[in-house]
Amino acid sequence: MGFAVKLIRREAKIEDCPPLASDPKYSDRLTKLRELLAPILSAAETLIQVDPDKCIGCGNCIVACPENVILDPPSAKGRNSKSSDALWTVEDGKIKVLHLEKCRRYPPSRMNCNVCEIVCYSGAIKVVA
Amino acid sequence: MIVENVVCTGCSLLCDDVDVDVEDPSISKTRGACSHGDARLKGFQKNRLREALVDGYKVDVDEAIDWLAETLKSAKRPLIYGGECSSNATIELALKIAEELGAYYDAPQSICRALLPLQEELGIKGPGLEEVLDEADFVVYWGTSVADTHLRHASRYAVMPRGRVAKMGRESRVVASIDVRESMSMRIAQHKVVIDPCSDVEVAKAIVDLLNGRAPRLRPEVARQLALLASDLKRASFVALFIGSGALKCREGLRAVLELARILSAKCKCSVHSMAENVNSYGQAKVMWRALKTCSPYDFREREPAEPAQVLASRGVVDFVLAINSDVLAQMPLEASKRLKGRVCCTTELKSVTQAYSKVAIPVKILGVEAGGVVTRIDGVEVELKPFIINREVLSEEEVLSRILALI
Repeated sequence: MGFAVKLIRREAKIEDCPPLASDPKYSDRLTKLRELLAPILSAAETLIQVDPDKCIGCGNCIVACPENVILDPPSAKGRNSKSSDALWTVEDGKIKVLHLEKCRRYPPSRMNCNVCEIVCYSGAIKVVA
Repeated sequence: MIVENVVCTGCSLLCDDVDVDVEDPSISKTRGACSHGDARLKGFQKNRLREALVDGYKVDVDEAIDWLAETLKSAKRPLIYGGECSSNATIELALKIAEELGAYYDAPQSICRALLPLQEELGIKGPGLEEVLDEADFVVYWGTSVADTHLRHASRYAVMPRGRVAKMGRESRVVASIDVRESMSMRIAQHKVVIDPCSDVEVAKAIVDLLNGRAPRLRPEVARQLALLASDLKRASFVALFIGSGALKCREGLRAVLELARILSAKCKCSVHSMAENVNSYGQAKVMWRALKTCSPYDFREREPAEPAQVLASRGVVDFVLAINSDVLAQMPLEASKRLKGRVCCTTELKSVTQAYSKVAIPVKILGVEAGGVVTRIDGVEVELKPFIINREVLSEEEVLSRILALI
């Protein structure tokens, strides 16, 4: 269980378990595990995937994000994020992450916050784990 | 060059906090604008009309204006159409031209034109968007999907921002979305009510019944959802009602929704806003109401409301149309459009179907980018647009219409 949690948190790799990686009798499970972990490995450290093609630039995530409004108080009132300290902003009609490390989900704190995903109209933001 | 706090003309919300990078004569980057605003601000150079055309041939703009004025003067029953994408001053000029010619005046169908007279009649309006931001704890979207039309509506004013009273933003508010389909904006709503088409009257009356403790007569599924909605509505201290063009399908439904707003305003604070379809649809309705005390199509010769433009065109009543930055041929039924082919002239920012079939097409400056003016936000607040790109090659729409008015 501990190893599984570490895999999801990206603190360990499949290769860290030699029997799983090298023993042919686990090959089916290995394939399945790689499929399961693929979205997590392709996501950012926060385990959030942002699809810019789907984003419509509504700014819901920016205004709803509790961390962003602390970093950039005018955005709490719905105004455009202008501070370079902001977590994210809208540029050219699409969301742009400025400081991923300031997200509550960023390691090591990894808070289970998914407000941005809840308020996203278009499904552009997905929390993968 | 970076220009800060530009007013975005991508929709009728008129967000005034957008920053743009200008690389004359275009905009290379936007910050804070949604995808609609970004497309409007960055895309105008790609598809704009650059030269005046008469019968498809390039001419001097003065010559085109003379042609247009002469053609209008010789028309028996002209129609002046549009204004929903123009400044308030331009709409006033369009009305003056129509009056001078004894012409018909009409504009695209809009929720603002239907709602404004009803609001005036019933005396319902309520506070503006800033007050909604600060205080509203119950937001209703009726017949509108803001996730498709007014992308920053929820994040800029109605749902997400933390206000003076609604301190926790979305957690301090309840959102209800009532529509005939499951729309994108329902994703942020606690109450998602999918109703039958044209059942607005029954639904509005059912909510009134529930508020008064009576059981509604609706199919059980909808009745259950409305009961939950009404129980939250009873606890609300400020209800903000945003009505979209979906409610236009049933004119009596609009009256029923306003009746609901009137009952709510006796119990708590209540505001009603129309979700204007184009940048100045609300201004078009307001200017018309101020001048004529009606928002219906108007016949200046008979001094009375007239039939809609598409009916007049289909019947062949209208023999010439001046389209004010409005794609009249694309908005009309095919038969009506065919009748008007070659009998249209237009002022236009961008290339369009109307421009392609116009006898005279006059390019104008891009409103809010190259041309200034006052436009009206969905809550009636007049917003001044300031030009930030200089274009000396074309005239502003206001200048063009002033010159036409002088000539006729």
